[in-house]
Amino acid sequence: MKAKTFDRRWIFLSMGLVVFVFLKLPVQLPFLPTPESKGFYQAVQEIPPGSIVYLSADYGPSTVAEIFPMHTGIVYQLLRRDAKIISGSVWDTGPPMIDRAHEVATAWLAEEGIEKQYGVDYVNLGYKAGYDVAVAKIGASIPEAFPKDYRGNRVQDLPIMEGVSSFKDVVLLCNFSSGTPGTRQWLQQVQTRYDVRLIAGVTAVMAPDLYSFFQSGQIEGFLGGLVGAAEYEFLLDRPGTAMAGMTVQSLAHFLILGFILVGNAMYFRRRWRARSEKEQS
Amino acid sequence: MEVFGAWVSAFLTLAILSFLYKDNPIYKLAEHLFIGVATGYVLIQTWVGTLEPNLVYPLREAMTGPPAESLGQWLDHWKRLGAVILGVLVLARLSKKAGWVSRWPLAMLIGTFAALRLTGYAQSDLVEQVNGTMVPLVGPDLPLLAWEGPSVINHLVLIVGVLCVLIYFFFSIEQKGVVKHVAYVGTFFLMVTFGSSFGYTVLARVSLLIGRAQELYQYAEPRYGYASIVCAAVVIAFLAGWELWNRKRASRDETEQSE
Repeated sequence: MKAKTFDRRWIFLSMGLVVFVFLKLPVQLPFLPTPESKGFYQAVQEIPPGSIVYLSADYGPSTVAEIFPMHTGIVYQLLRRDAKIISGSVWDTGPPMIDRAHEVATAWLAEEGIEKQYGVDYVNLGYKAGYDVAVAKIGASIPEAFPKDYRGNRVQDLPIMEGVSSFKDVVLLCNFSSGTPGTRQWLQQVQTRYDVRLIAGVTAVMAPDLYSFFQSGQIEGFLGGLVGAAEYEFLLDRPGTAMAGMTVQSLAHFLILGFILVGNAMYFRRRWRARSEKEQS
Repeated sequence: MEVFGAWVSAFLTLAILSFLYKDNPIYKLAEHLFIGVATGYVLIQTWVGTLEPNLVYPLREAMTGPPAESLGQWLDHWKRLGAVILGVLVLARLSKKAGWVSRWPLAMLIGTFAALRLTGYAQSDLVEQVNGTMVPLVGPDLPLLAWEGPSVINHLVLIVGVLCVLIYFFFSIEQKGVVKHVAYVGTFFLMVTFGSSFGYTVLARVSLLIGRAQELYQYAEPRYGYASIVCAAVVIAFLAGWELWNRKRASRDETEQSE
């Protein structure tokens, strides 16, 4: 088989087969939570009941697989700890994600006999345009940045907003991000200015960027991609879609490792052949 | 409505995935649909989420509400008109003669962004990061080796890595002698960084596929009318028909050309 003429659709097909066939495999490969995930979970566990938490959902439907399990997980954990969640987004696709996460998490809590109310325990402030400027504005004054919530209510009339003006009143900031504006902007414009505790949930592509901020203590914990979401579900003891996808994720990685090894073997074989042909001539 | 949404979602997912076979009309349909819907969605969100609450309502209140009692209150009522004027000035770019006027609002935008980014970036990415690199190499509670967290070896790797990579990107002196060797060590740290980024990127892309696969499995259930299975059959049948039609057309064109 020649690498140059190899039809790459065979790679797509084999990847598709691995994912679709093994997704229903009733086997869970073992995994342990990393310090980053533990830090994320612990930061939420440490906040006292009644604390105000600002949750910025800066992602959209394209990264639901990675981020949505984290989002529903933290809403569940926070409401279970009687925290008050003020959610907003600097992504236009964020507000429906917030509504969906609230819907799922409150349904879980209702199963446990815990009732939570919109406007009292949690709120969706909607979308604010303006990148860094919007993030800085939200940091300075939440009611000024969001005069009305996603449902059209006056923000200042909502019981949850009583006594909340800026990030000085916020105990914990949580950002879910799949691009820009995202965690870096919240770090630069809000965390450093108001010295608020920050945790984040990001796509796997963005995760390597956050390690240095975790090491320096600027971020107390973060979840990176599907594996981060699965670790969080494990810590919450609520297995969901992220944990269900981890076995097939590992198998897909083995397949890619195989492709890399085969590709390298083919490359070195071609180079060795070219060299020996040159020596012969 | 939920069942209808499942059918739309299953069909569009499979239509987009059909691009992996090759570019085809069913993929194009999904692509155009996405662009149209996304544009409309952004427009509505910007109006409802930003313009209405931050511009329309305050101006309406200023016009219909009680008159201002002081200059400060009057300015507070009407300050948003300044944003409207600046916004309109951007449109001057459409005119060749008055295009220069659009530089004013743009200058304000660039200035604001630059100032915000500069201060935030300097604090979070420079001061705090330098601070994070100042770690002890000896200490009574510092273990020699640990898989996670602080240890002498981990701190040593951190400091050596930062210094070597910084020297690799230091172009004011010629990289020869000791500097060359240190910079060479820096490339290994960079390669580890690129490797981890690549690994995480693979993780992300596979996760997205898993997400779609999970939804397609869900929509293949009887309560959704086997939406995924039916849509997959439709997409495959369309691709097969389209391929056959393309081949027939190609052979007809070939015959015509040879004649």
